[in-house]
Amino acid sequence: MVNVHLSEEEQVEALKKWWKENGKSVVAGVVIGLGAVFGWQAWEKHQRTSAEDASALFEQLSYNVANGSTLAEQQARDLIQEHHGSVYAVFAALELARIKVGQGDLAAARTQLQWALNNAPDDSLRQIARLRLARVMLSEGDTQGAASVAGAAVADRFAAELAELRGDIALADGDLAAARDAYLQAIDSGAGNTELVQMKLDDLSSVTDS
Amino acid sequence: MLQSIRERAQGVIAWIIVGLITIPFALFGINEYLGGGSEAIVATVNGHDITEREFDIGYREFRQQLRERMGKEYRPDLLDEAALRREVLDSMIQNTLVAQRTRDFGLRIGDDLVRQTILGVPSFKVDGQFDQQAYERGVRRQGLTPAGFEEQVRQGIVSRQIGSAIRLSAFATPVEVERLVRLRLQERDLSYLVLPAGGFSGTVDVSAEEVRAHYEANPGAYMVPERIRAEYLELHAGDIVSKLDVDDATIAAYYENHRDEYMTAERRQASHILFALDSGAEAAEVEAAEAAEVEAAEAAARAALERIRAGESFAAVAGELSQDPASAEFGGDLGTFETGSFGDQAIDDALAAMTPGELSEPVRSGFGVHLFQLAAVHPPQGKSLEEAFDQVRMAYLRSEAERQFYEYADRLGNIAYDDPSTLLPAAEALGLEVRKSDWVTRDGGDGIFASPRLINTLFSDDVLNQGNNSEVIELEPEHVVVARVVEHQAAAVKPLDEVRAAIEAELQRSKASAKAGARVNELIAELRAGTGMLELAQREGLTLINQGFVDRGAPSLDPAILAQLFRMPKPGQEGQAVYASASLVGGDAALIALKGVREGTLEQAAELGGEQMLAMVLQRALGETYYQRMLENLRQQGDVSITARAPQP
Repeated sequence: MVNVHLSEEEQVEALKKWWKENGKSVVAGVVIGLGAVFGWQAWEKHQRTSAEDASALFEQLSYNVANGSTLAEQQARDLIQEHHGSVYAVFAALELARIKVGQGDLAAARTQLQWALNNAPDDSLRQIARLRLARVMLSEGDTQGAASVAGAAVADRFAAELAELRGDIALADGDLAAARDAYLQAIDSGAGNTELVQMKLDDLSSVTDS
Repeated sequence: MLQSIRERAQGVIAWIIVGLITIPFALFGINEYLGGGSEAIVATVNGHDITEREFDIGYREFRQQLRERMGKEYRPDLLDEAALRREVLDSMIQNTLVAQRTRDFGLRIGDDLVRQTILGVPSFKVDGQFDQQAYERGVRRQGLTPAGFEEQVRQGIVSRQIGSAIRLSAFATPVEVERLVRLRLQERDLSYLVLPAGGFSGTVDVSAEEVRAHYEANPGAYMVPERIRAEYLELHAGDIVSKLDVDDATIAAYYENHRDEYMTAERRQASHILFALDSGAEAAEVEAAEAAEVEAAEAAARAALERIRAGESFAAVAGELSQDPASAEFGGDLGTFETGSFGDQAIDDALAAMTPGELSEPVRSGFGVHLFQLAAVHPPQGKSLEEAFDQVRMAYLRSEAERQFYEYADRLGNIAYDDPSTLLPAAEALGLEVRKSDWVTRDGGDGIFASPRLINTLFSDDVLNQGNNSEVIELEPEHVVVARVVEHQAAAVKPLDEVRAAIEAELQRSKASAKAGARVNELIAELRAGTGMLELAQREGLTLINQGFVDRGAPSLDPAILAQLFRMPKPGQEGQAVYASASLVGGDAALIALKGVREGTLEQAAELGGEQMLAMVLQRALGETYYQRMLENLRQQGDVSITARAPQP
């Protein structure tokens, strides 16, 4: 860029000329660069404070849910609305579904669980939302809907709970053989509440060793 | 300028300089490779290392918590250390997995909540107020900086958030609760008969081939567990006593040293009147200046003495004149005391020379000038050396044995270690007898073999497989043992001849039981054909038990009958009873008639704490299960590797 064989005046002249040609782009570049850096920082800070806000709201919500406070419902709604992109919103939707089940409003619970299922960020949360959604649908008498929700589950450590659910659905449909197979599978995969599954299995009127 | 640098940089010196500059750059970070800077790792969780140091701290904390939780029950020797370490590692891995997931989820905690949490920790409080110093001390004790600790608190809260999001949002729908109630509180109406297997034992034969076949098919059922016989040297402080010898002079010396354990000292009761000298004990050194003062005090004492001799009471004069404020108001009474109590020889000498009731001449002491009146002399009480001789001798021997015990235990350990293949040198050197135990299994035995520490040592690799002497094992204070294994039998199947009778009896029982079961099935066929149950029972000479309705927990019913009862098909609409057989634990067979089923109702639930309660129990169980499943998923889907340095399962 700078030719070493030129005299000093010539060099200054060359610099001036260069600046005239490129000055605007340099200034623009610096401004854009700094803007990007500060913008990124501001955005990160915003993300952080936003997550911390959501977290604080969730702490209050948890407290109120645990104590059965009537404030919980509105808090959950606020949290979902204000932080709908956050995992805390998914947590709040799960809590809200529970509140709705407690009020006997299964349809509203279904809406929340469906939203949680669509927005959950990982497999385990999705499985939880899915199992709960299918259970609510089954309780409403919608065995087909429950079966299709449960059918979309991936295979993981929730296998026993899913098998138990399939057994419940089959039983509601009157398919005792399928129900028995599903309950046996649930027990084999180590159901969390083995005693209850065993009772369900035994009640299928299956024993005929007479 | 650049040009000139380039020109000069061609020289040898320049290259040397460049070389010198290069060295630190080349070596930078090399200690990472030499092992100085790297730490041992026990596990890697999705790329995050858990170091041995972190694990050790975690394990120490866990032990500490365990000790606090168990209190007096805490018995370190009964804990399975390896299993505990493994458990701690698993929970650390789990915590790491959860922490990583919270980061993926973007969960965060504001500083406010962290601060509130820390302010609420009880151990950081002094008199109910948060104390900065207590906080810093507590944090340091955990090997952390405040910043590190705050990060830990933050992580703890965030991890808890995932758990509560899943647990607290759990629910049970009314349909589910109703179903639980229907099943859990179901009642069934039954009658039953029991056919004793004993009634069939005369009709069954067991052949020798059957016995052999059964024996060969079930080797595990006839095992002698692994067992050993040990030789051991037992050292007990009590045993040393019997070996010690002692002469009378030593006992006498011991008695003198411990006189107060056997005899109280001679005590006197006296009163005094004190004419104090300001300068006290130093008077003797500053004679000239003080002589006048002493003379005055002595004169005062003489005057008082005259008054008492003339008939005034000692107590009255003491009350009036004594300059000892503590005793003056009690008439000069000093109470009862041992010789030497005042630390002044002049007083002791004066009192020793007096007889009870006597009044002294003025006595010059460090305190001043006294008049004494001796009230009584209590002679020493207790046992003299002659009277307590045997007692003293035993006490001496016991203390000597205790002293020697540790010396012996030390020597025992050293000799047994020097030649680990025999106990004889130690036995000879210490005059102990090598004893041999009976067979002992890993479950332990009687006497000293009830000690889990001894059993663990005997079955350790060093002692059992290498055949070495054990270390010195302390069974209880002043009772130690060194042992070695002299015979070892691996677990083995008992020979057939030894168990033939038992197998025969067992086969007989199971055949009789099968016959009883078969008979029950014949009877069931009759019942289905229309025979009445009572009629049948009378014909067969059995007792018909009309139990009525029972629930799943009925305590009065045989568990096998109960289990079968709730598994039987329900009677149809016509009310026809359903029959089934059940094999009882003793081998007897039961014939069960199920006559009716009553489903549980919500009204019944009310008696058991209500529908709400049951729903709560159910939803709590569901929440816990789902959360556990999530943890299991994290573990299964995560990339977790455990190194060889980790505690092995």
